[in-house]
Amino acid sequence: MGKAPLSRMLSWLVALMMALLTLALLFVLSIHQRAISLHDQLADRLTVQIVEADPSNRDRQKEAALHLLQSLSSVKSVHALSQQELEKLVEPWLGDHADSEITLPALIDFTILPHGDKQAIAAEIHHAAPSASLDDHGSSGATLLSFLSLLSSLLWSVILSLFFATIAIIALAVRSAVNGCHDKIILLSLLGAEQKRIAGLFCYKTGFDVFKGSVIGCAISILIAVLSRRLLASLPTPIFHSDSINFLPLLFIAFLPIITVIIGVMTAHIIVLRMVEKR
Amino acid sequence: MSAIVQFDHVHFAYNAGTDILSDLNLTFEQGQFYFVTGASGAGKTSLLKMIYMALRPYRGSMRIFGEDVMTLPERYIPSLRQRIGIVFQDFRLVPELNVFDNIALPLRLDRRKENFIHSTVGRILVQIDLPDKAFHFPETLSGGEQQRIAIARALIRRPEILVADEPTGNIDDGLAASILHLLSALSKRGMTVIMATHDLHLLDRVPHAKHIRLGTKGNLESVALLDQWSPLK
Repeated sequence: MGKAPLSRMLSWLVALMMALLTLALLFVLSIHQRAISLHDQLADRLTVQIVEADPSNRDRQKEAALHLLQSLSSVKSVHALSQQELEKLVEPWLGDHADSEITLPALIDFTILPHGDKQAIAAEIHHAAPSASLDDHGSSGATLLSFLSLLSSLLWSVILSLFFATIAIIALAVRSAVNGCHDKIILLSLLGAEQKRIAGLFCYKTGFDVFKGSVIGCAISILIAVLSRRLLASLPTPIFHSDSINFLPLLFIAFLPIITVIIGVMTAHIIVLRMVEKR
Repeated sequence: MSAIVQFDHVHFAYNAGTDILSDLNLTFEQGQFYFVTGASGAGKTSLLKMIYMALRPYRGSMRIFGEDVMTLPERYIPSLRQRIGIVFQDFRLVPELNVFDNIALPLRLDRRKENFIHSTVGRILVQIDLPDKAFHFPETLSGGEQQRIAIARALIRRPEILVADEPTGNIDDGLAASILHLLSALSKRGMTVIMATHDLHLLDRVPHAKHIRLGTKGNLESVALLDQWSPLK
């Protein structure tokens, strides 16, 4: 290729843009999938909380509520938390002496089927256990879910902008690279090379440089993602889950180098033909 | 002899400015050697560029190999250019290619087979006396050597017309004489050689050549066989 500064940097410029684009894409996909996963986990999950000072009364109401939930057809699964599980839950706030000093409520986690009527279930529980209150995880996690959804939408718009910026930069870099070869293109034309042959020669070279840059960029971003995964996975509530990205978006990432090569080659083809036709 | 290039009332100007070539009527015949002379700016290079179709007249008609280039579709121009060898004033060698690949370039553009390319380029390297420089790069060679490579590249396809713009401008007298001898021999074998030069001393070295002298207004001042020609004042 020619001596234009952008032409020398074509591969690295493409690599940088592709790394940014792929990383952003991986991050957004992870957030998006995590939001879906959280929604699935929280939407149908509820907890019965029985706050009763008298232990025998609390246990009686707990048994009644548990029995009721197990009998309902709209309830998918039920789990009554043991004393050990309760103590573990409050341990961060109350320390090791939680069991001896404070009366803990009885908790029953349960999930309902997608079309289960939460209000009807709440009424029946209240009838069976008057001290019971119902905690709907779906409504309490709604703020987090809507935040993740908003974040996801914003990031998709960033991805879209980044994608168009990548296309523009590739097109500009290719244009600069081909313009740097102006004299050679004209020479080949004067030596009797057909337009398609000249375009083919420069498209091949451009396509190779763009492909090289794309593969390097994708490889860098995937490497960063893999390294980041170890750090992010160690967080108490990991957001960046490798297993939360499904196959189809990864296939799209694999096609990104091909998409950029097509853009680069088409740009080079058009510019070379215009250059030769001016003669 | 048949006409290979014909100019008929040709006018040419850059960007609709003053005429560089004005009302030019000229015929180049097959197998002839032509010197094109004239003062600086008389239009020698423009005339050559029109022959290899890098420039087109804005008025008049122009035929190359019998084809009217004024109406010829763009896609047919490469096939005509393949029949013309060009020696540029500034050589225009590709710096990234070695001597062998520079000379082989037209054959590679024609998609000729590699064994044909190797034998043809090897032969011409011997003819231009540079067989040991095949894998050198142009920047390591002298002006005279680069000039010979440019001539070899122009001749590698055995063109019907050789257009040379000041091909002896950068070389010593001895080398200029040998290049003129080569081009003269080629014209005797049927190649039309059209050579622009400002050096009138060269004219004496090709006695059978024709001399085309362009005037300062881009008009044709004279065309004559050299043995009928006398220097103008």
